[in-house]
Amino acid sequence: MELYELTIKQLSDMLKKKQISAVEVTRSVLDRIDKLEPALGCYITIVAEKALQDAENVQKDIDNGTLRSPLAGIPMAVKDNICTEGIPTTCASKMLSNFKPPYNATVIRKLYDNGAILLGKLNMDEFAMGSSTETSYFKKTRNPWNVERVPGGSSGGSAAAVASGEAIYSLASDTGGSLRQPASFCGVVGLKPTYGSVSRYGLIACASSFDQIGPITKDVTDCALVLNAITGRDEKDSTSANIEHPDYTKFLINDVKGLKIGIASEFIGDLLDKEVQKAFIDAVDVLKKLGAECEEISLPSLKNALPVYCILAFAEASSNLGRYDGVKYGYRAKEYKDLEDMYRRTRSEGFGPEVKRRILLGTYALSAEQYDKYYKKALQVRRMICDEFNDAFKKYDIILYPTTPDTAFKFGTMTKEPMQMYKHDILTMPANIAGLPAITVPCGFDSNNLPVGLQMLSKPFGEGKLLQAAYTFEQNTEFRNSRPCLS
Amino acid sequence: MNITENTIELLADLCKIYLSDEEKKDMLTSIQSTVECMDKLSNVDTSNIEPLEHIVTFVNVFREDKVKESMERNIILSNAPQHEDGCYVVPRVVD
Amino acid sequence: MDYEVVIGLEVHAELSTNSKIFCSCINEFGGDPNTHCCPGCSGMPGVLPVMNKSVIEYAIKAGLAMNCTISKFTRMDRKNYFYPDLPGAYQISQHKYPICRNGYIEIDVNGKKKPIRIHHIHMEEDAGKLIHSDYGTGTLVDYNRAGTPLIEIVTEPDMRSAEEARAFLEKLKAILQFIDVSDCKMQEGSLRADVNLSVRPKGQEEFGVRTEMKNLNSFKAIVRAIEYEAKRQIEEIESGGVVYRETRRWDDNKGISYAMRDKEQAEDYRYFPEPDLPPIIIDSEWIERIRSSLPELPDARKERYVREFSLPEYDANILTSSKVLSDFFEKAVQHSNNAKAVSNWIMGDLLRILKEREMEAEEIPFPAEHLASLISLIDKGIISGSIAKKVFVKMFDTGKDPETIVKEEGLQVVADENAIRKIVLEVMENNPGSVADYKGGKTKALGFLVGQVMKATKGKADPKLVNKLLIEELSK
Repeated sequence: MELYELTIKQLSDMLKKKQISAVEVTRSVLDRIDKLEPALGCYITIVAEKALQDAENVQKDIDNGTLRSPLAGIPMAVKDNICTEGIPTTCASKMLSNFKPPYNATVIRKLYDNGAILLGKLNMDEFAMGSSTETSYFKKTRNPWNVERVPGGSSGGSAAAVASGEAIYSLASDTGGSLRQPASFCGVVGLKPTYGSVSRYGLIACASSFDQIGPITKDVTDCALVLNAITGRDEKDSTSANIEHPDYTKFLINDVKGLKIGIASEFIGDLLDKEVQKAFIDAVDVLKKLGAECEEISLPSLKNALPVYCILAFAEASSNLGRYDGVKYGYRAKEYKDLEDMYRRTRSEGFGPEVKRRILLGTYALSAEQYDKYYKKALQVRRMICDEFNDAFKKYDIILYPTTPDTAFKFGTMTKEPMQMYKHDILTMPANIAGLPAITVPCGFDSNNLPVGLQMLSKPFGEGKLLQAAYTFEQNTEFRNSRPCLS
Repeated sequence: MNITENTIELLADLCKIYLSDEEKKDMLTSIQSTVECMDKLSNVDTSNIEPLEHIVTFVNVFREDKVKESMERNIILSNAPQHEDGCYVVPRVVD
Repeated sequence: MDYEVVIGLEVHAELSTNSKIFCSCINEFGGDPNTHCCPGCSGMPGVLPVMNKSVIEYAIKAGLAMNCTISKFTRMDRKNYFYPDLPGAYQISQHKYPICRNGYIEIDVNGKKKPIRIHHIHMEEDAGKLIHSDYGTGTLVDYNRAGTPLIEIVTEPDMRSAEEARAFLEKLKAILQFIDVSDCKMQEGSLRADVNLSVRPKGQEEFGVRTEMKNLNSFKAIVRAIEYEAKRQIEEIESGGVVYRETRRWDDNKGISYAMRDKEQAEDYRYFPEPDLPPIIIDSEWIERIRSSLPELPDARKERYVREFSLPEYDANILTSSKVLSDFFEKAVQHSNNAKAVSNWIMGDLLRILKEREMEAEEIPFPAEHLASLISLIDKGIISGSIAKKVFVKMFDTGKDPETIVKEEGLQVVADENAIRKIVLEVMENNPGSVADYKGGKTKALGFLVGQVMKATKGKADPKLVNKLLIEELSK
């Protein structure tokens, strides 16, 4: 096996035993990037020299015993909406194509403290708006399982890089499924933590009350390892929760006996592609055989998730994206006749069509005349959805449904009709609406050999339970051993 | 309310963007269908339900009133498209 | 027809916290452009606001001092608009749940007391500053002021004249200074007021159409702008025209206001709850803790001055109209047993000189103890009242203490009988007419002769002694 194929856990053990060095691992992954990048296009920026230099330094600290984190010396990459000091952070937009933040996101600082080796910045949908990474200003990212297919989005680069060995793990953000959907499409593990678990400081905001950073990893064990490093209260993010996070690796227990699982009936059946449906039913059988108590439950409010999401997330985004005006950083139109013209040209030339569409829609929902009809109403329904989940979690440990209604689609199928694209995220939006933790693990393949993801939700700060259920599922199935065939 | 091309133009004004005629047409269709979806909430009975205005359940997150050093000006301005005499520069503003 | 002017005010006061409202940059007026900035207050992406606890406490203090109800639940909202002085393209402000509501301030105009109701007080961040340079084609942007904490005090339309508006603002300023939440320096923009004004025929109940006036940078400008706008609206109506609801900008140089572009009125701010800041719950314990820490407020101080020092209410009112002045009075009184004289000096010479020299009370160049010493020099008969006035001016000029000035300039009263008798005789010799008048029964002439002796001694002679000696000599 090549080093780039291994997990954090495997590499970390080898580093501890001095069988390999951080520089060797980093080289291995950089070589992999060199080889596959032309075909896959996962990265917007690659910092190879810095990575090798950091690997050398980290190796010294591993050797002298000052760095003991399992993440020390492991090469990784982050979505390009997470600020990295001195390294371009573009949000895959022309608007920020030349932006170099003078600060690190809290997650970046934490990963550096753990000795992580940053390889570069990963492609995404522009400002995290999209479900296929096709709205990126820079490039297409291709699905490692089938290069004719999208990797999902908005964190397409983050998922494709991990699936293809172009990074051992990655960080992504999830606003309505932006992390889980591509993880599912690319056959890897992705976890969106509880809102408030991971600091958003330095995450360029899409929709502030929905956004959350999480790991994309090759397996559940790695997911727990990264989660340990990035969670925790941050005084720079007022919405980060002041709770004691457990050691998440303690939940890597191969046992679901007696675990109460509710299967959301709203989200199975006609909504799903037949093959996804079959993979899901098989997955439920696996869990049942392992002793989990599975039953169908009804969460009727979930059918309203899509309009609630469109209203609230677009409204927040429209406000968050006001600051890109050509004054302080980023793109400014070359010619303009006055301030108003400068604003309008800058924003018209700097943003792509999907971003403009959401800004317009969000502005509409927030306008004084429409506020009660849309924004306020959506906040009421948001509460109904939260309440329904809360009630359900009084009875169940886990709520289960697929991550996506179908598998990775072909390029160009969703960009024409945006509503179809929004609908595609219907299964991932509820967790963001209610601020709940949700994980996706591979649970099968369709007849085109495209991965299917199984999604599990838990109550707020119930990441431990999620990891236990996902770990058990993973340990008792073979899907994690399948990797895409890439020459 | 019906979304018309006029609505789109007003929104574009408010958001400070220009839309070409073609963009306007594209936007009109997609925005109409999205607003149609948003309109579905009108059928939901939300009487006696308080809007959920804050997703976090905790309150009173404050910082002590202590001064920390500001960032060096040349770093602050390093990303600015245009700066002069330590200031950002914008087209002349008339009040 | 007789018209009534209806005025409501929106007053912004910058809070004098150490740091800004949402970041740890220093909250300080001035500084080289963009040197009090960080990624947060300069609007860089990904940076989040963190609420300064002092801002909430200052706002509660202000609310309590203005008899408001403090909200148990409050939170921040976003107000969205584009302008280069607003780095994030939204201002974090309060819209739905302001921190204080339903208060009032009592004003006193020509001895008539009247409460002015306060609709609410809310917290928000200030914007940066635009510098319109004379050269080049651009406007310069400085974010030093961006993120300075503000409270906005919004009154009910309870004022009926420029005098009332002025009295309100003066009282408000005094209160904010007494509770030490704002330095209220209008010239530095730390106190700014917008005026909402309408007129209606006397006796009519419903309000007329109101305009909002901005850019009022001094109390004087506010008074002038109100008088101008009231007149303009009345003339508009009288001549059959219409008053439009609009925002007008006051031009203090030209003494006129003009309508700002229509665009500004069409603005839709798209307020919504700030998702980056959790809500704020203020329990009664917190409110009471702040209430018990409140210092004596201007009205209480005024009553105490009347009670303790037997000052006329008018004097007490003026002394307590400014924290600096009032503190100056208190300090001087501590070092003097003649409160009445301290008050008279402040009300008279001190305020007159400040006005002549266009100085603020903060700029008095000597400590209050020096005024106490000056009064004690008079009371001990070491200098005369007229000399004291000169010494007082010198104190302003030099900042020296009065004893030193008197000593250096040899101003102490001359009480040497022989020396004064010599001058008395000289004056009588030089003014035979007055002497004759006096002797002929015109006793008024004595005053003139005393004056001449005082003049000859440059005011240093003890006036009682001069009187006595003159009568002695004239009776010979």
